[in-house]
Amino acid sequence: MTTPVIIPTDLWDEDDRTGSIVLWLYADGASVKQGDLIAEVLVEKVTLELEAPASGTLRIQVEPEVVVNKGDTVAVIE
Amino acid sequence: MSRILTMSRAGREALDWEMERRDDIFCLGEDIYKFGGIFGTMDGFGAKYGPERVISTPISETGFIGMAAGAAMEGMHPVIDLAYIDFIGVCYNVLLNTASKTHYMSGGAVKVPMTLLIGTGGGYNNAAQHSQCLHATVAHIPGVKVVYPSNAYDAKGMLHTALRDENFTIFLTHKATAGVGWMGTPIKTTLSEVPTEDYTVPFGKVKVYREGSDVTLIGLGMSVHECLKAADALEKDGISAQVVDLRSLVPLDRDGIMEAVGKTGRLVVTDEDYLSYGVSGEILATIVERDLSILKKPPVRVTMPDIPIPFSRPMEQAILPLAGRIADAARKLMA
Repeated sequence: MTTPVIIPTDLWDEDDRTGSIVLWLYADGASVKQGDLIAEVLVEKVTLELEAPASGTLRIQVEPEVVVNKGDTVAVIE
Repeated sequence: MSRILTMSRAGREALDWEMERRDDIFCLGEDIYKFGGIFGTMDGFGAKYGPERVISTPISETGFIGMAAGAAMEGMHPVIDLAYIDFIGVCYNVLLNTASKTHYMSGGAVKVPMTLLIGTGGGYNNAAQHSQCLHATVAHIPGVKVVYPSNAYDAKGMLHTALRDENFTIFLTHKATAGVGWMGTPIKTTLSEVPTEDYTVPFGKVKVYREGSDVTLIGLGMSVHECLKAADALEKDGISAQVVDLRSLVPLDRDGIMEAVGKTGRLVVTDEDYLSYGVSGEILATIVERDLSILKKPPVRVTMPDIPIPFSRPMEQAILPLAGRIADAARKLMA
């Protein structure tokens, strides 16, 4: 079973802003636990946090410095 | 595999761990209660520890550094976020004569356990009054330890060490290495796998980041990462560069410096602080005093020149000790 890691639609307020991953706190293929802080997302110089929605193996799909929007899938957890 | 942290998060974890277990630690600084400090070192601490332990101060460094030294003499361990080292001038009497000297002047009876967190350095167009390193200016004062980690693992371990020290430590972080969002994407070599449990990294030991046999590149803070980039470039030219991080200015690991330089006999010292009367000269003086014969060639210094740091990006980039200048210096030593 895989769970997508999605940028929550309420992570930041303004709908017209985009963000980018600052860094992944775990390497691709690392095991993570549900609720672990796994990535930082930068929006307008403000750093926001992304948590693991499930426990399992992290498969990163979006690297840092790539533009992301609310609702985007940036990784999956297997 | 453990977590990969920025220096900012790693330092915060050490401070949080100690504050959870010790009532003597409290935080002081501008914009720390709600905002967590400009480097995020105290992010969330206001809500967690309350206004008595996380005190947002007015813009009055002269006042609150004195307050901290007084509290330390009475048995507290204040942790002060001073933001930028450019503001240190107004703290100088307390640094120079109180916090650093009271232990000695009282014959050891009065200790001053306090930790001063300061951001240093430029490279982001903040001009002459917000871009300085000035680490030599504080390392010159007897009675204070000065440490300067350059990666997340060392930041956490060295902050635990500072918070457990019975006297005064100045804990420097180059702004570009901290890994805070407003400075852009974190530099990869500043990130480390960091254990969740507490651990200490002792002061006064250099760290060899990368082994090499032709030339030694010594750096501290941000210049370590420029040395690593230079070493990658030199490798393509067939030059094997060793990269050494000083990590601690007081105490300074003079044995470690001699050992590292002795392996190659060719030395480039890098430093984002000004050229004259500074760390780069101290390293060369150490070698000259101890054993000049380990050098095969006269050493080279790649540092900030002795001029006010320009606001203009092309002008600032031209004078910073960046990888290109470091690699050029190393190539000349190999010629």
